[in-house]
Amino acid sequence: MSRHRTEFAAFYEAAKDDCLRTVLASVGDAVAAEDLVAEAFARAWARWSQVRQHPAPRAWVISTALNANVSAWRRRRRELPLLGHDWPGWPGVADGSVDRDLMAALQCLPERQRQVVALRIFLDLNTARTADMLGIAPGTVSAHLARAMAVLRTEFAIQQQVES
Amino acid sequence: MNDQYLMTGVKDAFADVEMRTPAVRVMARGNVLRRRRRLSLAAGAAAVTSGAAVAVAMLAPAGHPASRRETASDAQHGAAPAPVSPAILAAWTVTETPNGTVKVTIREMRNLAGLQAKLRADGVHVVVTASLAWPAACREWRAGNYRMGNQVLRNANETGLPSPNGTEIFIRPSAIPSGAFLWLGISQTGKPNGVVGPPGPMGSGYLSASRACIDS
Repeated sequence: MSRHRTEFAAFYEAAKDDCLRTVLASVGDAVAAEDLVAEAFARAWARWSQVRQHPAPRAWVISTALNANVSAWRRRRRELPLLGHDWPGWPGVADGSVDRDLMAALQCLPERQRQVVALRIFLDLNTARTADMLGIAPGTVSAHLARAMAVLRTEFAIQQQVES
Repeated sequence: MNDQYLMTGVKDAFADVEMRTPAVRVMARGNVLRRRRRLSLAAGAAAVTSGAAVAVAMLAPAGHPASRRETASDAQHGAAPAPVSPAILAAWTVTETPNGTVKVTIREMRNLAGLQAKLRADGVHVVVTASLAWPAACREWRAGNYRMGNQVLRNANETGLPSPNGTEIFIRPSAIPSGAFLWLGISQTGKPNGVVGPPGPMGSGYLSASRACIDS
């Protein structure tokens, strides 16, 4: 047990930030993302003997966090705020840790595109592994990534123009 | 701007995002989840050992608005439903479908009297036997002069054989003629009747709704 504890603690330290960034890029809410990732890691620890043998434990954690987010969203969907009514901006990113415009651009992407971008960028998953994790075809991953990159490229170009 | 440059830019933008939850808190929560899972599994195993874990779907009586509810019940009346592990299948389940039929799945020849009571309580006029013979006290409705269409009773498997999930049938309670009870004779192949195990061929028909038959 002690060996497992040490092993899990090392895994957590090494993977937690990348997992959080991936989930944050996908859900857009820093507080919710932290909760989701913490819960997913807790579930990983609860069944560590199995998760440690998973070919990609980080992907397992993220998949668990994103699925939990879907469940939470289903529970809360009747509580969605009305746009324009005291809209507080992207919750949890007001501390300046992530550029607001970039976060807004990410959140404008369809959910699947956001997930593809997050997995490819923060976990460095290749197309096949991303497709496997999301349960879609590799060609679909490439198409989602290309469309998402086009949107983000425009956003970056605007930012660069503004800065210059 | 190529894709690699763009992806690096996005990655850099998130560089300051760091997880603040300490590992000890995550592991403490994990320990709670692990204990809860073990308790749940232990409770499920205990229920199966006592033969009391029977999952049923509570059916609205005929004429009531349809509402699909599935619960796991234990032997104690009034007890809160116990969670049933997906790995532990109940002997039988009764499920209301949106089109007014009732789906009955029988996986084991266990507690068929309970199945009959459940169906009757939900307004299905039925006699269930653990053999291919109806009770001696019963007489066939109209002395067998009837034709039962598949709108009354239909096997989920069109070949008529039990499916891998057990015997699955659909009953339309509203189509059972007035004055008749639907007979379901469930047997086992190559085993004495009543022994716990998967069901085999099933007989069906209409029985006259006499008190002696219904109470037998």
